[in-house]
Amino acid sequence: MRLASKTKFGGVVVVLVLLGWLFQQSDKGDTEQHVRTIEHFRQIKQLDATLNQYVLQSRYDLLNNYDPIVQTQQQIDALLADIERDTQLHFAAPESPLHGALARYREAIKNKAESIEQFKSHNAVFKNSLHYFPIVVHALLDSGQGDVQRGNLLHGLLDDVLLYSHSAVSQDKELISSRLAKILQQANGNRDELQSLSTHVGVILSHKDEIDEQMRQITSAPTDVNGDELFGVYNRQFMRETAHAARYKQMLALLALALVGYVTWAMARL
Amino acid sequence: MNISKSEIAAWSKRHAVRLAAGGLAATLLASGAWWLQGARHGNANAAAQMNILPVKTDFSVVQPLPERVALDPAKVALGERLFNDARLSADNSIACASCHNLTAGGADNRVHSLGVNRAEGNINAPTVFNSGFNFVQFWDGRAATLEDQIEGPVNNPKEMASNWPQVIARLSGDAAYPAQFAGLYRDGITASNIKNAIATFERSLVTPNSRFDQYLRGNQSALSKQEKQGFELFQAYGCASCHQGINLGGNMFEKMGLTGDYFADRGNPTEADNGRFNLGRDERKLHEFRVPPLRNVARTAPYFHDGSAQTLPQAIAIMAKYQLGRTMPAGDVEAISAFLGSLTGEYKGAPL
Repeated sequence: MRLASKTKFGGVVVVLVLLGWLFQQSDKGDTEQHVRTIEHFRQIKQLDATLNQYVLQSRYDLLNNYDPIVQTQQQIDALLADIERDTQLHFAAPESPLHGALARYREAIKNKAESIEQFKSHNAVFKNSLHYFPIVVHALLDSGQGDVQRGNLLHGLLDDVLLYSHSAVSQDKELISSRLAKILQQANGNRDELQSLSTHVGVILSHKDEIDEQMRQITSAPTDVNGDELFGVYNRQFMRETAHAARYKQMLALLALALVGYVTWAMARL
Repeated sequence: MNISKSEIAAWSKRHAVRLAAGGLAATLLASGAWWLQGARHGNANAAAQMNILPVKTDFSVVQPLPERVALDPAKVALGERLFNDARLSADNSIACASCHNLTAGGADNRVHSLGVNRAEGNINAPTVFNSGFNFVQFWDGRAATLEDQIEGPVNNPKEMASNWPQVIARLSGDAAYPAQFAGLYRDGITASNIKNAIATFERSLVTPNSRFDQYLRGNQSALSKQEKQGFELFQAYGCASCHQGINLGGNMFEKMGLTGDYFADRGNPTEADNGRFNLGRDERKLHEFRVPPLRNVARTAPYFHDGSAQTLPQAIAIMAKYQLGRTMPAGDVEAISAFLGSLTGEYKGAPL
């Protein structure tokens, strides 16, 4: 190959390699995907708040089935999987800050889901007993045949338990237990109904504190904080990539300008 | 190699046109690349117009099943064929449909199903109908999705006793499967694609238009007086605390024996009785099971994870005693049983 050809070939190769490398470097930070990811983060945050709403509604009989809770959790999982898939290059490396932030977020979601499952189970039992309790009290009052003392005890128990079930404190527990013990001691009612009364008051007393605690854990779960942390780490990473890409885009522009200058020079020599 | 300036000048003069053309091409290439980057990264409007997820909340206890679900019909057809294909088992004797018989309520009406070599399983087979609405699969909820669930029976030595390499080899030798899979999946016959096809078919197994669904949609005459009373009692007794939602169950876990020791009274404890405890040895989850959905329940006897209740009235009485802590009069049991009978829906337009 002659020198001229070698020079020409070398020049073309250098320009092409330089162009390819600059193009590749300036390709970091896909804005369209970034907008989609931001939207996913926003939706997850909204769904997480909705999930808390559903739990509170469920506790106070405003929501009478658990499907919305389940569906909301499934939507959060799907969106998070989308984010992972879209940004898998960043999450894949264990040493990446995003990998760590994602692991913490996933752990928070898992713990919250565990609390929600316990809440659902306990809340169903609690609500069942709470709804049945007044019925069994009235059945015992009806069968009490005018026993005033027993009637007073049952009315007192009804008031105490219903107040207790909606209060934020637990000091009434002993009063309720002692009143129940007195009713059971008298034992002059239907044995099945007394047994039922004892069982359901026991369920209310044992489950109320549990579901309140589970509700606290769910509504104060760090999913919000961990989600914000993950978004922050992701966003900083994207900004770094965008800045990196912008620098190489400028170099690409400079190269284009240089080539324009060269072409002008070459044309001038014609 | 020494090249003088005059030689370069002479060479460049000779090749000036070519140099100019080459330079122009490179310039256009570089400018194009620069413009392309700007255009790609600047065009974010389309992505910004993404839809917000619809969150439609129904606050009532139960909702009717949808008339249809949107699924890929070709995948459903492939999944249906696989569902009925005994080559998924080690000895070509057991298909999914063997234990989930669509003409028997999506179950097999046995206490425990029989697998290869007539090996007896240790838990009652749940119905496959409407299983797509369950939040997890299996009695203990160990599979998060229908796809995950399929791993269980294929590899279980008491069920299909098979493995994926064997299944894939057999299906690859079939006259039609390779083309069917190739048409639907880029990577052809794989374990993941087999599971996806079967799960898609299972998601299509919806049984709408039960008399109860007609009632929920406003047809007051769809239920008899006793059935309506049964629905009222179903809610009043607290059955609906757990059996709620679109599937009347299948969306939570609950302990078996809340108000009485069911297992001590029944006797002969088994490992399957432990429920979710078996998954992580967590004492809090002992005897916890996924609440079974009640759709088509009149067709899926025997009942409970242990198949111990042969009839609906028996099952209702046991639930009343051990889950609700109530004694239920026979008339109420009958009414609730009648209501549960109204939950039988249709499959492919015909009553189940």
